[in-house]
Amino acid sequence: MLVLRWAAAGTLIVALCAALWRAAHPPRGTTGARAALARYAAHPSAVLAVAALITLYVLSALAPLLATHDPIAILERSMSNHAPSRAFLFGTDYAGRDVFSRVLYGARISLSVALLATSIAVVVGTLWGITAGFCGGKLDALMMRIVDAFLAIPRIVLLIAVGTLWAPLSISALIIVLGLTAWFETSRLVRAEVLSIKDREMVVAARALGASDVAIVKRHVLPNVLTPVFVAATLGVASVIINEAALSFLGIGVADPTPSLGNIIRDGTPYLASAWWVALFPGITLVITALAYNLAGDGLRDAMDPRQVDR
Amino acid sequence: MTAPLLSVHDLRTYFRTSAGVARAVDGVSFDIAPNESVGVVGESGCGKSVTSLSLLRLIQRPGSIEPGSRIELEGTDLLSLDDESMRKIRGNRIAMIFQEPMTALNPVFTVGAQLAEVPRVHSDISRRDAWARAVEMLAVVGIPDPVERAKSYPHQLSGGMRQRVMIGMALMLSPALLIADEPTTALDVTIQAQILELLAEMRAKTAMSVLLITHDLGVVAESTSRVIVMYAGEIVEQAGVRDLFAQPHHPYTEGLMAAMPRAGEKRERLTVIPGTVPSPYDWPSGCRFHERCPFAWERCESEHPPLYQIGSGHVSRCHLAVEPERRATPHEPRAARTGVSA
Amino acid sequence: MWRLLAGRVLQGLAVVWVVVTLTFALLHSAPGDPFSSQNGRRIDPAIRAHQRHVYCLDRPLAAQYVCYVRSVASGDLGYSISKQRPVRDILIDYVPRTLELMFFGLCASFLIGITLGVLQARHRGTFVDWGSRGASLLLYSMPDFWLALMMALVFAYWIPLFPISGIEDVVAAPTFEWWQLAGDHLRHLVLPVATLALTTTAAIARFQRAAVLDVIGLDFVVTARAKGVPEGTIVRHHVLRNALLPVITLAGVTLPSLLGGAVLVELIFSWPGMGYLTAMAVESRDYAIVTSSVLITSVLVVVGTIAADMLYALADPRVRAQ
Repeated sequence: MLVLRWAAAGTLIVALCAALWRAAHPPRGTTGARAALARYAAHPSAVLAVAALITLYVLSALAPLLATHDPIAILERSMSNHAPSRAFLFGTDYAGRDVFSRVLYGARISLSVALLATSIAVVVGTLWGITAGFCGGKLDALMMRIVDAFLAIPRIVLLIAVGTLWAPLSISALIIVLGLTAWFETSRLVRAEVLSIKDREMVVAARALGASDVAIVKRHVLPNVLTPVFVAATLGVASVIINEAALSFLGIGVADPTPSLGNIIRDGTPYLASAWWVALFPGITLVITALAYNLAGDGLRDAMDPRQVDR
Repeated sequence: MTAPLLSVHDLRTYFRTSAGVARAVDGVSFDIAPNESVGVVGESGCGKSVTSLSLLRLIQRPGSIEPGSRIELEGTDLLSLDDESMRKIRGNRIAMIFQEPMTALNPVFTVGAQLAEVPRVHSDISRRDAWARAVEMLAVVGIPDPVERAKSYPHQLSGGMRQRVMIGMALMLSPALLIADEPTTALDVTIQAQILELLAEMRAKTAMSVLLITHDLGVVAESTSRVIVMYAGEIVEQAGVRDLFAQPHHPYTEGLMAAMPRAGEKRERLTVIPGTVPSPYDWPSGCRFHERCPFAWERCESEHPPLYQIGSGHVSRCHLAVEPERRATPHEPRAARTGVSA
Repeated sequence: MWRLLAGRVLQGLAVVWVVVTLTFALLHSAPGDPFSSQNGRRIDPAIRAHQRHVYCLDRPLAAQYVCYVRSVASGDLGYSISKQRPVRDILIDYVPRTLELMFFGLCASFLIGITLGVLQARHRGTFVDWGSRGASLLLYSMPDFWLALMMALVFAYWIPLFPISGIEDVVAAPTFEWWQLAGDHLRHLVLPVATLALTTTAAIARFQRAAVLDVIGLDFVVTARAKGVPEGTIVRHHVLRNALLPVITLAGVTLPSLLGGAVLVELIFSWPGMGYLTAMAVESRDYAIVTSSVLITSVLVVVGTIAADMLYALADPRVRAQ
């Protein structure tokens, strides 16, 4: 039964990848988004990255169907810290729980938290950057000084402060906190883009013709800003995932018994020498996810920026 | 006939990229005598800069000089030299100056240091002596207050002064040949005149040859004794400067001259050569100029013309040399009709 | 130059002031009373009175803010519930050990990162290039705490090369000569510094490679070749001098990330620095330490960034001349 479900999941993954591959190889002569997609697909590493992400998301989304055991149920104390075997693919942790199922569910939590938090970060950062860039003057200076201050604080330190003061954090609170600490670079990017566009002739002309500020933002600013923001967001998801894992590792992120890749590692730390598999596998999952997002972001950056330099 | 200083024979420099092979320089041959000033004219994309870089073997990946080319400096084939021997020639026997002096000078080193680098790289001269020579050279090229100026950085000097510094750098070791790649293009007209004058002065002092590359016919008329006209990677005409201006043969040369606005002339529109320079990945068949030529006929499309002898010291790559009667029947060039180039 | 420094210092002060305001806002918007007892632990009434006085707890919010700023400016960072000591005294013990880690970490990552980046640029396209770039990307994608755990697992447990934790061999130390103490100290430094440096080195190498590639295509490099300068000298002298400049600006970004990494690395290797302190404060909900951490780290970053800016100004004559 389980094997069938896995086969189905595998088929789904392959189908999605194939569909994307088809979309990325349009007939010659197409321009715009599809052409960019095609340029992106020319990098084998970027393609692999997207395939990995599709795999991770499908597998973790279908965790309830694909897990071998109940991730939370403590099976038997005597089963604690057992090495990987056929029954327990990644072994068991100190409480006798199946690490493989926990990693599957944990990935589900970590991946969705990261995606949601990054969405918040993108929205806040874009709004902040547009406001600062457009209004200029003292407001701009104040807003960017605030961004500077936030950037001067190491993100994990800030997260620890907030996490400790507001402990315990529910998952939605965690998402909000992660999102509200991840928008700073985006706001700088957006502001820079707005500043460069503000003075371009087409905007001056639009103004002269009586277009309202909001309309100018929608027609001129947003389309140009989308590209660098999208690249920054992709790279940003990678760091949000790692930060959430760090918080869960410290105990102020996702709380036991709900699995998160970070707190599984936390469970495995006291037994590092004897039951190293508990800390190893969730970590590898984290690395693969972050690596995939980083590669994808790099590929995006290269695809969107049509410079001919043969690097 | 004295032996030539530089002898270039069938130089071909190709760039191999994912887009194909760009034949930037495709069979160029010429000689430069000692103490001679030769000009190379042509539009952007004709291969003149690549030719000059090839002479010093400064072409980098993905370009390379094709086997079969020969570049001889006083009898030595430069293309057969190893890297170290070639390095000893650069800046020493052949020197080069470039178009944009702001970017051609290193912004983080003083002007004096960059001048002094030349002798230090080629001999065991001491730092102090090298610096002294640098200051001397600054004075020679006409920079006021050279002792202080030597300690300046490039961004602190004006465009004209920077170009003087570049010329000074090139002349530090009294090269036999100076290659000047568009030395005045980035400068104001008045400064242009000064720089050309400086070059002439230096030539007189040191009896060095100059290969002057430019797209400006005025500069060529003033500063050179022989002119090479390049188009599409080839030489299309070569003559003494007076002959070229008095009796241009190749329709491209004629077009270039007609396009020059001259003071005192009354014209309503500038004459323009229709079409654009073709892509080096895909030179046209036959005569490479045929699509833009007002005299072209069937032969021009199919048969690639050799360099015909027109007069003494005057050659032209045009079939009009053997069928001059075709000049009587000009027509609209094909490029003008379709509005697109090759 | 001095004007530049003054300007930067003023900017830095503004940034620190914003951070102070932020910590104030955090302390006062958090649920519960940050200044009272937590976890059932009682505070000495004398300490409590001191706190009330220093933070003006009985006054309206605006006055509390002014009090807070004044206290921080004078160095009073509150009282640690978990350690029962003023925070300032605790920091004096712990911060220098983090600074030591930072120093070695920065040196190692910049030295190795720059060398690696230059190598990658020079051998662009070869195995050395994309091989090390792949490894860099892999390291860059690792959570630092997991990397620390794996380093500990491999180099301290499986191959017992280095000590697993602490700053010195507690048992043997009292019997050590000074040079043995130094050696022991260095041995304990290796794993934490290596873990910290690995991720930062990757980022620096990436950046340096791009900077070198940018510079190597510039016109003055062609000029240098045309002058007959040997290729090696061109890279070392002409290119590097220009390509190193942008890397200096990286300090502004690597400092926060190194300090952040220090928190978890210090925890895992039990290196008693400020990061370790912060991580421990999480368990005991020690508000004073956690917020002081925010303040101190941001001050360190600001100071470091100013130093980097000044270094850049010294190195680039175009900036210096202004």
